Amino acid sequence: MKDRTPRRRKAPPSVSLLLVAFLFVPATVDAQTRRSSKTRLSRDEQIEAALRKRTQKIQDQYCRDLVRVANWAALQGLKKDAAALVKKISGINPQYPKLEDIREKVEEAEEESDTAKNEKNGKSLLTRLKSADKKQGVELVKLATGCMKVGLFTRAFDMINYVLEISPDDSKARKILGYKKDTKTKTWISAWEYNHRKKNFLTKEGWFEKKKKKDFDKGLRPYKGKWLSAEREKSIRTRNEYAPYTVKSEHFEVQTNMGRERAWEFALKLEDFYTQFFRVFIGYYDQIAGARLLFNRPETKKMHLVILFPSRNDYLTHVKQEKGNDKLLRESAGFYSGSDRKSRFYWSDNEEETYRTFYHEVAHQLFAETKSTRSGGSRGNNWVVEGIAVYIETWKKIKGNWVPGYEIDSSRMKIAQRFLAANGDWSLQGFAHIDNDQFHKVNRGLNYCLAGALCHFFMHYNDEVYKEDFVRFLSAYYMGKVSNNSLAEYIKIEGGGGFNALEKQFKEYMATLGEKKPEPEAEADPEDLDE
Amino acid sequence: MTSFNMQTLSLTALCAALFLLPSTVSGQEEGVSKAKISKALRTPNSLIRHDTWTKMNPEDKSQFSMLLKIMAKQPWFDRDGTIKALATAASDEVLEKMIKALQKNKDRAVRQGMAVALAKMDDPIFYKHLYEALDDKDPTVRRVVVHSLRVHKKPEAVDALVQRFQKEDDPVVKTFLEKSLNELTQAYRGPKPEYWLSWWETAKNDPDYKLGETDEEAKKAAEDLGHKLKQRRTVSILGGVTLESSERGSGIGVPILIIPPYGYSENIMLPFLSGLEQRHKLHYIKLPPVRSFKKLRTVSAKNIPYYPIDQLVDAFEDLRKQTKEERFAIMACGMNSWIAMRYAKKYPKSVAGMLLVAPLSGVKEYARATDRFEKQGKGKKDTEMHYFGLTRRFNSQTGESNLDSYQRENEIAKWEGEGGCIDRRSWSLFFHDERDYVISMLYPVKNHVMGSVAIPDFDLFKEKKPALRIPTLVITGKSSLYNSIEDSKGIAKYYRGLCLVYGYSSCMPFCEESKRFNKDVAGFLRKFTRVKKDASKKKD
Repeated sequence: MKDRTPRRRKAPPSVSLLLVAFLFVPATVDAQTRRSSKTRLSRDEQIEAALRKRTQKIQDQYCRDLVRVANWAALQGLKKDAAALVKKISGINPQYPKLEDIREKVEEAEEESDTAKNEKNGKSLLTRLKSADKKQGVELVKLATGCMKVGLFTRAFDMINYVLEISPDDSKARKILGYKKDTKTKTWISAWEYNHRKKNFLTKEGWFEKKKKKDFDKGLRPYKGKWLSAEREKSIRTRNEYAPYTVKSEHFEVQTNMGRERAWEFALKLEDFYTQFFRVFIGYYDQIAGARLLFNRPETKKMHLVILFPSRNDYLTHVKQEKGNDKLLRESAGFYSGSDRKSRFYWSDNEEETYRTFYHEVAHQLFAETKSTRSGGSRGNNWVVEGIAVYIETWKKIKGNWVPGYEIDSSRMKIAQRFLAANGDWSLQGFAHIDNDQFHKVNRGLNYCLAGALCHFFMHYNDEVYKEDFVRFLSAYYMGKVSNNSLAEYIKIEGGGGFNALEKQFKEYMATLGEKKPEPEAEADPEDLDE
Repeated sequence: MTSFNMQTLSLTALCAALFLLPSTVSGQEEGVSKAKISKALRTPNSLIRHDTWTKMNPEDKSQFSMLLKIMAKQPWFDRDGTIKALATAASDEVLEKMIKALQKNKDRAVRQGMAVALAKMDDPIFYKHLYEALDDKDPTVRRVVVHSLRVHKKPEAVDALVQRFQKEDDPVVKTFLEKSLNELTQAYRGPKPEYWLSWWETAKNDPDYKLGETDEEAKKAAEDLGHKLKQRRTVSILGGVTLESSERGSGIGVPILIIPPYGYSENIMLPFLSGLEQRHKLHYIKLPPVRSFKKLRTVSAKNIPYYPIDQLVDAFEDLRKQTKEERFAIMACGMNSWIAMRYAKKYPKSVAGMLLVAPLSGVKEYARATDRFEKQGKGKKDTEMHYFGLTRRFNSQTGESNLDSYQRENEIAKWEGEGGCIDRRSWSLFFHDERDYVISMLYPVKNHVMGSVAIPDFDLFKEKKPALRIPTLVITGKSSLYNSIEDSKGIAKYYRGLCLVYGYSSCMPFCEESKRFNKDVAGFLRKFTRVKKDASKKKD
């Protein structure tokens, strides 16, 4: 049937070639991953060793270049800058052999007092640094491409992003991530935005057609093909849930009565969440699909539809009007419905709580809508559906970076922790056997907390040792392949022990959770290189 | 008879109307292009159709007229899409047209749709038109208006509903009136309109009264008077399960156990049996989810359990003992007729009569129905029906459903929202006229989650006959694909009972031809079941 076959949007030729280059190779990797876990592990170890060696080589080369620049800076009397470079080298590789030599040289160097000379040299220093960064960028992009060839997409993704941190203008890295350069503004933007800018302009309220700019500037706003005064539009759009403000970003369509500006804010938050989601859950997809999503080239560009009600009352009216006043929905803070592909939730005074629900529901949506699933076929382990969404509530953005699992002090994690401390006889196996109906009807609140805590455990225990297995398990659940006892089959525990061993580890993990908080990845302090 | 007269779904007419549409969408944000409408008209995917209609622009003259055509001709979920599109109308001109259509359009499907669209807008200026529509000549329009007014708590709405209640003569509309009033007021005054009137006259003038505030005393009194469903839990030692049921109605007639179709809730029957509640106590059974039973026989690698009919039958017997009833009549639908049949065989003295609605005689008939869905679905390119048929079977070794294996073998990807599409299609097939708006109204409340089960091995014709003759009435719809007329006749013959075939029904004759159904069942029970002589004490 026509409608079932998703049509691939034709990518520009250069991008297509790039994808072909690295997306066809993993077939061999896939074949290899089917071998026994022992063989797989040794293969992984081999790859890991090769990767370490290559990374080391690139780092050493980069350090060498930086030493050269630092040396030059010291000779020119740019003592401060040279010292900052030494600090940077030490941050990259504290054991770098020439580190002490250069440190001594910089310490002995004399500061130049001629301002004009310093200004000139400063510019030259920047050029030299850029050149070193670029050189490293080129090497890292090569390495990232190699990583893709062996299926290490997340690693490749992180490398490419690192390249962009040190060398924001690296065209290869930009292209791999699906960026295009806007020649007018000389900025890198997503391919979607690049195409969108041709006919639209961006405002605080989202995108509008260029040909309607005059109307927009006059304060008019669109409604059903006509441009009305903003006040008139507001009176219609806030009247009921059926004609809300709607904004479309690259992957999401947000509908709300709360105003277009607000809708756009939400859309941007969702876009920000979108990439991190795929970065963490790439193993949920098969390799090609995962890479497509991570590198922002999904096969279909269907919007994920999100509805935000202004208040709990409005949400309840919706449940009454459209969902038969369903008790479960009435008692929820939001829901995702696969039958109409929409997630819904409401705004509450507690902003943090609202965002938690927001990411929770959208997580359900992304798991369901970015892969053809058959979750109805799974029997048992139904906790995983809500568990993974509750786990995502523990993600937090700190200093611009997402930190998965950060909120270990959230009320749900605490409830789980207290419950497990007081109920030593709680059984993981029994929990895995609870069916979906029972999960929601008997001790629903507690089940959510325990399920979320379990996911936290599987995602973060012992330096994420179970993460990959667990994401594979999650994928199997959504593909309808999971039964009551599958958890212990998917999560390979050293020394065996199945459910009992996992349960013991989980309880220990929860008992000590909070002693060490997950941290954002260390970033170079921009002030280290005061330019 | 409350169902529609069947009209041909004229795709040709709709496609012809498409030529009148402009080819491009004006505006950047809303509306949908002619090409998309054309594509939607031809797709078997109800979600795509629905979403396309939802995005249409009622402010555009030709799209407005197209919306009306779809509303008049297409199935309920399509109609729902057009209603949502119409609820976005904003200009006076379009709103006037909608009000006019509500008042004067000859097609009741259009009047129904307009009523729902205007109610969804929740704009004070439209309410007076909705209150007027409570007097529409057609009961199916009236019940839609009554149902739509239940959402927003307004004293004027209560006033209008109470007034309408005083003159309403259609039993189904009356049930909807009572339900909407209960939802708006939480007062539970029961099925008698005069009780509502006298209560409302006092309440509306009481400055302390807050509309819709839950009144626990009123709730309790309503339960005692049979105005509200009274919940009952029967712990059955014999059946090894706890049986939940709810009761309503009272009178001298034999009490009736009502067993909705498997996986469906009593909500799909409640509004339509008020005729019986005047004479009988009705026990609506919530079949226990499969997880409630211990140590069930299972099949396949996924350990899918068989649904335990015998244990359930024992639980029914415990319910009878707990309620101190001498005998029950049992009304059972579809495959759940097997429970009634087994109960009649095992405890014939406890069964006053059987009312079997669209029943099946056994697994073979179930398989034939599945074949019908697969064949007809495939033949008519009705993919949703075809897929629905495939979901009714699974591989007994692996537990994989036939749909999953079909899609895997043919490398067909699941489409987005496929589960919802199949579920809606399976529900539509319960009805003779798939446009009937009551399908929309019941859809969100239809489910009773039971868990996946394997169909137990059952063949009525191989079963030993009950020791006593059980008076049996079989009622089936002419257009049902879930069962067959021949099989229904065979069942009636087996029990030496009566088989009635309703011409405007599928599997929901109690809803689709409610008046006739209530009359036939009441007549049957009066004729074949004994009546308690001292029952007058219970009458109010």
